[in-house]
Amino acid sequence: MAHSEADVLAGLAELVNEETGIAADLVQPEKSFTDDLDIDSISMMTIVVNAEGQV
Amino acid sequence: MTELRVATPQKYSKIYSLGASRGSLSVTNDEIAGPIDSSDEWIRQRTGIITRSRANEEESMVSLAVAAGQEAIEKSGINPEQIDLVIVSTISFPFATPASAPLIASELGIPTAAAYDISAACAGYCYGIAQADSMIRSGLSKYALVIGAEKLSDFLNPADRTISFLLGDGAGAAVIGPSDTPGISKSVWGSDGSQWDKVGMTSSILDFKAGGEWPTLIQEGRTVFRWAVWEMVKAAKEALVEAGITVDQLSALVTHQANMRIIDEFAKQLEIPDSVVVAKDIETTGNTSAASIPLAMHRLLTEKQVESGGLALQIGFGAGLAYAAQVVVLP
Repeated sequence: MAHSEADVLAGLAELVNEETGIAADLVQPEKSFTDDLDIDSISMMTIVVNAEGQV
Repeated sequence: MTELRVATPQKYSKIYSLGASRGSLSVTNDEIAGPIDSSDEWIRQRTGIITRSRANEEESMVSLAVAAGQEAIEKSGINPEQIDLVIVSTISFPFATPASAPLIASELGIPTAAAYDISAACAGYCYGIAQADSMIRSGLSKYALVIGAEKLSDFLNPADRTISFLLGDGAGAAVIGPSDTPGISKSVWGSDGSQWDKVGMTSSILDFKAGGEWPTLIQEGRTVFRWAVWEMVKAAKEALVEAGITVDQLSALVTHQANMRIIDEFAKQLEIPDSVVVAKDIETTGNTSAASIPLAMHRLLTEKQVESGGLALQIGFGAGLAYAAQVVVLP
């Protein structure tokens, strides 16, 4: 099933918020996980695995 | 035709008591951060560890095991002479042979028990519980002592950034015996040898003999983390199904104390309700491999975070890769 870019961003923002508490509206395409959002590698991996589970 | 007599089965087994012994040094993050170019803040955030227990020079894997075994036996109501099975799970006994178990048994005043070591790393204690339960219920053993004991500090490189800062030294022990009611559920256990190289040693003792470096512990952290959470939660769910209970009927979740981030994500993925206490002994003990589960459970009981008679899901997982899980009645 194809997802729009907006759907993907919204889904990712929700996962980031669940894992880190970072506000969903801060998750934007131009932001870096590490430099801008200060998400560590363990959280990044958790977000990726949970995202894979949703695809 | 002559008929053989076989062992008389015993319906149920249970854990009678636990014993614990931690290395007497309490090592802070600041003390170990230098060689790995890290900080107290980084270690706390990535692992949840504030301090870890380490053995001093007088303490050995055997002395830690004996101390834990002694407490378990004293609290069990059983005399040492009655114990007929001693299983020691360890990856840090520095002899290929003989095993540590006969020596530990002898030092505990257990003169003639069947005694052997098992090597199943962080799954070792739960492997030992699975075996003891099985042997008591088959009638092969009556009273068993299962010990997880490690002096991991003998096998770590202080400059290793993958695992060394997690590790601690200690031993946990359980006396197991017959019971009129179910005390240990059917164990769920297994392995994935295709990932044998994901956590283990830098080299073998043969490499050391040929002039190489002393073998030390190392891991591919991300791969192990991923397996430890998402694959092991599946094993935990299977263990609950085998035990015939749901997660909200537990008093405690006692996972291998690998890393606080693993414990937290594991509890979240398993949808542990607030009523279930999650063991977090790693905070001040570190990751003690085979000793971590009995140490963590002993602490929950000693600190009265849980009550005797409640149900605990214990799951060990790690190098092998290997895992084992069962639901037990808290002693």
